Amino acid sequence: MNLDQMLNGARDEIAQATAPIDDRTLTRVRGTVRRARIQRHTFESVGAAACAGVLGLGAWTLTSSDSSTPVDPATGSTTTGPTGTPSPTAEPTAEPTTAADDGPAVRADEIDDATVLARLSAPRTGERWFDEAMDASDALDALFTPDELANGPEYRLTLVGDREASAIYALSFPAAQTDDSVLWAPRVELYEIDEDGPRAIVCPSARTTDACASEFSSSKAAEDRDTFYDTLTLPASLALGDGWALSTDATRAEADRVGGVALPAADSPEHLEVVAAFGPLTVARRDVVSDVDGLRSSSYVVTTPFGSMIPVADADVPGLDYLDITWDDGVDRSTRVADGDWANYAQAPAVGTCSTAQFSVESSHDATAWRTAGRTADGRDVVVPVAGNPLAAAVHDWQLSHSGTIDEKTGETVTGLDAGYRFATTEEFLAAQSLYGVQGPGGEWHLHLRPEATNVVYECA
Amino acid sequence: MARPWEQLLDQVARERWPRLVAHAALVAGSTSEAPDLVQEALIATFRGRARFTTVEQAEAYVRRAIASRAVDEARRRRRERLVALRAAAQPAPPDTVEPPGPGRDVVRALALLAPRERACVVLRQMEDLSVAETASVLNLSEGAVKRYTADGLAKLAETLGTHPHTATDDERVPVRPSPTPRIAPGGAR
Repeated sequence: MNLDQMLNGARDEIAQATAPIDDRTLTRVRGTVRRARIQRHTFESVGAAACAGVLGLGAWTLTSSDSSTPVDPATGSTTTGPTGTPSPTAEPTAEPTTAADDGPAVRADEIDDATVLARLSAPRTGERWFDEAMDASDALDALFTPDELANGPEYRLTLVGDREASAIYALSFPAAQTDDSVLWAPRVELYEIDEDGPRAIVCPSARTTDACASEFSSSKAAEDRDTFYDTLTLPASLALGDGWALSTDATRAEADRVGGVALPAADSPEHLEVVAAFGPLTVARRDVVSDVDGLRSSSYVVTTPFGSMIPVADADVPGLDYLDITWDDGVDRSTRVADGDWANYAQAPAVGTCSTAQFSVESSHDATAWRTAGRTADGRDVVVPVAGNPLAAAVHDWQLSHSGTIDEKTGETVTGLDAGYRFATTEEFLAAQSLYGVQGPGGEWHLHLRPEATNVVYECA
Repeated sequence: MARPWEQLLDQVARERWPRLVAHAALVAGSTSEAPDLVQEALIATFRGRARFTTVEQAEAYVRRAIASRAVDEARRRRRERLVALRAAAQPAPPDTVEPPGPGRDVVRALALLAPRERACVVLRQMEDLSVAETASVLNLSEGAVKRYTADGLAKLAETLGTHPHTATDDERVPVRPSPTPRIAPGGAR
């Protein structure tokens, strides 16, 4: 065997043993190329403008080749190796699919959920979300001036998808604190960049009645109220099984979270558990650290296909509307005791006031330790602990012992009842129907704590 | 709808990936580094202004990008290794051992060549590039291409125990007739 035969044989062997390119790799390559092309375009535009006044001396900048690209090759294939067999593979989130309905992609005031769900799986709007967001910090100068980048927050820009001739980017910021990703996480902003420049996508929903972002951070981007995505349009109702569903009415009205907030950091103790999928959207339970033993505390979020999460508003979670519960003892407990969002809805009992957890679940539920005591406005049974239920004592003890504030007259720190906690004993705590449960999906009991039974704090900071 | 460059990139990557990886394995003397090399070459080729309109033209660009990057990467690694060795005053670690796999003996033998020798052998012997084209791709003089190619082939023949090539008058190595003309200036864009 001569050398030519050995070289060609080796090449053929390697080619035959090599699998086709996987979708993730191709997506990464495509995204990197796109970003580089956008940057090149920006550079050349600036270069052209600068050179225009120099008697045409700059004309070369628009026609010279990129030094990093290879030299002109010969035309035609010069290889004699085996022909690679194209092996297109499914790329579920990256390829647009045929529209569920072939009409023009226009917004509407109301869209029934069947249509929303169909479009989540078969969007009319052409967006493709990458399986993995790619760092795009080198494209930040398309959104901000050098001065803004030098003096502004530490922006995080990722390339998350594309649509027609536009690349889609997600911009986020460092969280002020990391102990509760919903409470502290800054919003995520969506931008599209094409050869005409950057646009801030402020109304991503196909519903005209859903909120648009009231502001965006980029000084260079134009506000785009026309572009929307079928894959970011929430159904009005998110069914989680057994006839139990989250509403999204209040969630969709949140103008500062249309793009969601950043997911918990990798080193965060928070954990997301997906409980249902609606096309590329998922509903997840966001578990937070519980402060009372034997309870798991969570809230609901909707995760987006570009790696953010939209917190489900308290008003959209069945059972949290404490003020609307009708109690069997006939006592009216619908009076709101304070201003502020914290006083509107119940929360999880195993966390403090400054947590956004919406419910806690026992590791094992003993039905004999609970009794039915009322009904929610939408007709769900409400249970409360029977006297002697150890969980009630544990929750009361934690909330009382973790109450504290600053006496603004003396400047001294005061705690417990001195701080204004309302219930001195577990009996008082129980009599006020502070801790209650409403059945969630799968028959699981979601436990809640009425707003005024949560621990007193000076401020959440 | 995907842009033309995007469609072309997808087509090249999906249809030609195994062949490009094989090319990269030979030109780098390493099967493990080949996929990364192909990715980088795809990016370098498509990030610039397109000077190609067909898959064949694009693939040819990518192959040349692979060769030039393989040489650059080998030189960079050698520099880093030397710096690290000077700093640590330690004996040179052995090069990465090529794992068993297809074409192992040939890849091992190629790995023993200097990066430029390897690139010249592959471009000249397998890609049918002329001396001038190879010199352009690797930023070498034509004389250097001839020397590297001849030296590389001789070493390969010795390592693999094959018949060495017979030198020709002008290049000292046999070449196949140039199969295709170069793109004319102002040609396909």
